[in-house]
Amino acid sequence: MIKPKKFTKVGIIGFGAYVPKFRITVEEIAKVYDKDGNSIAASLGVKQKAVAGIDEDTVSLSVEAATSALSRVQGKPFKPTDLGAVLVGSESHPYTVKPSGSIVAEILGVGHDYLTADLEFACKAGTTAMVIIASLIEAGLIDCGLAIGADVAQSRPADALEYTAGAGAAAIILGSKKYSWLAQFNSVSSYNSDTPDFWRREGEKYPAHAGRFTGEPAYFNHVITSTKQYLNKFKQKTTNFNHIVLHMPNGKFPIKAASRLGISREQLATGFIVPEIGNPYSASAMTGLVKVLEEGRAGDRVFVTSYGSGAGSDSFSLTIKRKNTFNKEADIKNQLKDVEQISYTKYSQLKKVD
Amino acid sequence: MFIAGAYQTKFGELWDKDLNDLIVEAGEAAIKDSGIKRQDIDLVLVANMLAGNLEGQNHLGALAVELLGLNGVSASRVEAACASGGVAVNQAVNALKAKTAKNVLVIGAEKMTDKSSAEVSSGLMGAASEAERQAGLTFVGLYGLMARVYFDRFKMTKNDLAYVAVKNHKHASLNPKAQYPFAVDMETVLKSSCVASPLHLFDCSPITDGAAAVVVTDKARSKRDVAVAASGMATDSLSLTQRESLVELKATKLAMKQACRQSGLKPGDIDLAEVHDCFSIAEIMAVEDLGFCQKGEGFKKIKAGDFDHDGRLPVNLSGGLKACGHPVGATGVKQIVELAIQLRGEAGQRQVKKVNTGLAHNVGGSGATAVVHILRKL
Amino acid sequence: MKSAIKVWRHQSNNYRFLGQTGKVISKTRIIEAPLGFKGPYWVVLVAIDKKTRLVGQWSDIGEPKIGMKVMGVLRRIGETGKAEAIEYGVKWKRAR
Repeated sequence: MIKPKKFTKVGIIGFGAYVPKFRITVEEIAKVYDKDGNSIAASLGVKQKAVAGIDEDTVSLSVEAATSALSRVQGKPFKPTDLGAVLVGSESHPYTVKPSGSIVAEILGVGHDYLTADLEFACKAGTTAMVIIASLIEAGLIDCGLAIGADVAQSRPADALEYTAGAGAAAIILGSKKYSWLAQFNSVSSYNSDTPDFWRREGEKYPAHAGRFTGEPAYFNHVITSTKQYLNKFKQKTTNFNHIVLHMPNGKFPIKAASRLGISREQLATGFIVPEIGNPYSASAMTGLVKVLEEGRAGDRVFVTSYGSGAGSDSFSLTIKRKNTFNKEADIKNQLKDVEQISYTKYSQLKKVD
Repeated sequence: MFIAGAYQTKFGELWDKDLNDLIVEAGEAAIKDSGIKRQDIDLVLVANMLAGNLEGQNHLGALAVELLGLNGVSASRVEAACASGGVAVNQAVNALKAKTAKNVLVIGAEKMTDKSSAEVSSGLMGAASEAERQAGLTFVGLYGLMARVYFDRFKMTKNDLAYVAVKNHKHASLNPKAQYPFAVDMETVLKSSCVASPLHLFDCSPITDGAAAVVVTDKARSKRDVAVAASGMATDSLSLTQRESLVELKATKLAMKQACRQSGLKPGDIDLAEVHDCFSIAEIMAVEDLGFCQKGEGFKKIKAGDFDHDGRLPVNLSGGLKACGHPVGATGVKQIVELAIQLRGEAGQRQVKKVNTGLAHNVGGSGATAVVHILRKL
Repeated sequence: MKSAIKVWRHQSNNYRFLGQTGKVISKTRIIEAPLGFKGPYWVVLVAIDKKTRLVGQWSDIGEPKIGMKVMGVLRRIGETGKAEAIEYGVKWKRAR
């Protein structure tokens, strides 16, 4: 079991997200299959999803997000070589063997003295990266580290997931007291099991899933139990938090889970980005978190529960210390303004997998 | 130095001809035309850019020697992208000046139609820099970047640009060796599809098979021999981004300066020219850079007919690269052949009446190498 | 097939202009792409400063315009075969 530890030495010193600029609406996809796009969009609670360009992949998205995150680190001059760990969580690493982490680190100029290995746990690998890095900092092994959740999700044509499987990346830089904290990292718990709701075998282009089984026994069980487990361990109530981010596979599941947990719409609102961008998998909860960090106020308490199929959830809390004033153009809410709608034909041409 | 033998094969999609066949046809015919005995050839230069790339055949000097029965003779390939032919002639002239050879056979040959146009296009990008290849550029794109700046700076219109192709096709209609020996109208040129903006299909020279050969010799032996008055060559940066100007080819200007100095002639003394119109914008810049008109005036003078068959200085009577075709390694040599034919008075329907001096302008890459030859009637 | 070794050797060069800004001096839309690239796409000629100019592919929604301020971003270069090593480099987007 994980101990109910209160972190004292870890804060968030930089954060950033990158959402690709192409969008395809649920309606546009539904047209191809002669289905009613309006009702599907309503039932999913999603209007459109972000689509990566032909020359974008998990590594390039990670670099974009990390670059934004680095631009927001305040205080003393920060060098990428300060980073002691770079962990990329994804289910679409460009290589099965050859870590995205080392490519991203090389591009960012991290140098050679750092720790990396790739993480995979469906949509929760990014938050797990955060927990590992927070622990390395608390243990004093590193002064700061970069955790990234990034995906260019591939979905089988005509599958229900095609409407929501999107693309995006979020980067969180955690650091010790040596740095100026934008938020304090408080505590974490995790709840995992062997649950076959959604998986992808080696060599397979597209994932497989177990239909309605992905609901109650998978998403809801883990998100709700993990949250309750955290609240129990740390003697907290959902009402203690100003902002709550739950993993967003679509626009309905998190709202339903929230209502069962006694979490209000207002608490979810700031990070609730899924109707506009769909589900960027490992970047889902993390982009919601980045948006909260970008728009929240000093003193705001934030709670996050991610979810990764297979299955598991990480739950953790932060307290915002200071608002970020750097590189506001890169704020998620500004990125959402400048997009290009594309047709299903163009979407097919942009898919990495054929 | 004199051009004694001159011959060009038909240019076009020559499906039943190998590179070897082209080398043999041009080489044999040029030797025969020169009246010089085969055993008196003491240097063979083969101009070619893509044989190694497209068909794995290098060592072309030795290949030509074997095919033409010239075993023992000094021979090698010359490569300077699309200027390979001109540079080979320049090297022949240098050998004669140095007296290391007396009778040089220069063959330019290229076989381009065995592979897909995407493969050929990629092969041609070997004439550009690594960064240009990495940017996904093609040659059309490189000249497109120059054309874009030219359009904006000198207020040229699409119609203006189209005149180049119309003129060169008109000239080619009188040249049975041309790839496209027929005229085209403005509408055809303007309606052709875009290849790399702002250049359209008819602004681009085609993919062509062909060969041309000359024998360059140290003595004039017959009235048909033509004097080489100048052979100038210069370079500029390989990369377009390192050039001082995007609307001129400095290498052309430098090579022209050399040629004028060597021959004692001025641009105004030239009666006839074959210039490097790999793309229509290239001809426009060429007539300016060679000094035939002011910078920014090229397209206006072409439109006004200055460089037509009956103009003050006929340019590209062969049809140029656009309409005669552009077998890369052969072009520079073909230009010399065309001038020689004109200066000999043997150009038939496209013969220019008063012609004493001719100029050949051959360029490699996006302007990295330029060669200017001036030939004179004896 | 791209040499993974050559790609490795060129890494620092490939990433040199990441995050830098410049101005578009010229542009061309490549319709017929060379091998290893899938058209159509824009290529821009960017001036970083008075001395430094470079060419690169455009990677943004919308078209590049002459005089536009642009920024270098990381993207994949060209098409990559299933078993090939991936080459990353700098492409250009509008600086916002």
